[in-house]
Amino acid sequence: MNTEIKRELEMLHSGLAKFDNSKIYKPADSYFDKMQHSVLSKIEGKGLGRNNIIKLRWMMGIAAAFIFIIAVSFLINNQSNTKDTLSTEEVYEYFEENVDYLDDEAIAGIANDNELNFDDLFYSDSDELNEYIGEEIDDITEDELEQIF
Amino acid sequence: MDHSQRYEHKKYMKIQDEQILELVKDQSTLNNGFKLLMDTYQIRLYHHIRAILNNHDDTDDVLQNTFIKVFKYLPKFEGRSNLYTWMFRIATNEAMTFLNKNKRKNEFLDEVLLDGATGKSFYQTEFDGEKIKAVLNNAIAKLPVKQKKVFSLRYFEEMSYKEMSEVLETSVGALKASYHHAVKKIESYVETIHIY
Repeated sequence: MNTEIKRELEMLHSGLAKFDNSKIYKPADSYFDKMQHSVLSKIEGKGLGRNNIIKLRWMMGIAAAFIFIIAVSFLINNQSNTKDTLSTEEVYEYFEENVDYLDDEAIAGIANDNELNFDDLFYSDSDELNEYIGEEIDDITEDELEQIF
Repeated sequence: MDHSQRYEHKKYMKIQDEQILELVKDQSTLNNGFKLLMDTYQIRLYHHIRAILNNHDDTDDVLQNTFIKVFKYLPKFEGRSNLYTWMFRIATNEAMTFLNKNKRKNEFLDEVLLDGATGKSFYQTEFDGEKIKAVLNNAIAKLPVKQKKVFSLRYFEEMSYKEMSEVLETSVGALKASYHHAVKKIESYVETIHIY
């Protein structure tokens, strides 16, 4: 017995200090082999084996990659959809900003591509566009006016 | 075991624990490492659990669950405590969980039958080892659960109060008090034993 434990028992006036403190519970000799076998079987059965953990990690990795690909393709599709379907306001805004650089054919093309008619353009709330037409009306030829209206 | 032998033993156990942890880190040596862990601790953990439960079959269940938990949580073991105190903590918790689940069943504890009274005091009689074990078994079985845990770790495992504090998550002062109470109760029980 450890001297510290023995001394403590002596201080407590315990007769236990006189005895050997070796283990008092001893199972049958073959018990521990069987116990180990059972533990290892349960570990494999419960899928706690390191191989299973590694397999699970691989599967989780593959699943994460799959989700990432889906998410990226969804975002790309969303962005391209946005480009394909500009709102009417966006077309007007573009038109207003670039009207100086666009010829009649381009204006007609933009309107056509976006299924707009000129009424939409000229009934817009854009004061700037109306002002522009007012200022430039003298320079527009009759043919051009005919084409616009 | 004197102080220097105890020191050497602890040093050996620490090296053994380091070896186990090194082996279980690597997939190729995991099984060998876990086997070494079970070989090293199975008798000590069995004894500690049995002191709490006082029944082989229940001890077997709890010991197996303990090793399964150890295997499961070993990758998370960070080495902040000793491997062996960590394992004793798991074993104690598993035994307590088992006791709480099976309260009724454990009201009926195994008691080893003794040969009767001699008219002499227990300490005046020359006992063979088996009889001492039987008396101690019965005395421990009568202790409250808390004192069983403390007595097992201190008397049989020879743990320091600091180590016991890590295992049982209780203050050193409270552990000393519990151990002293346990010793006194065992003493009282032993004094009543007489053999022909």
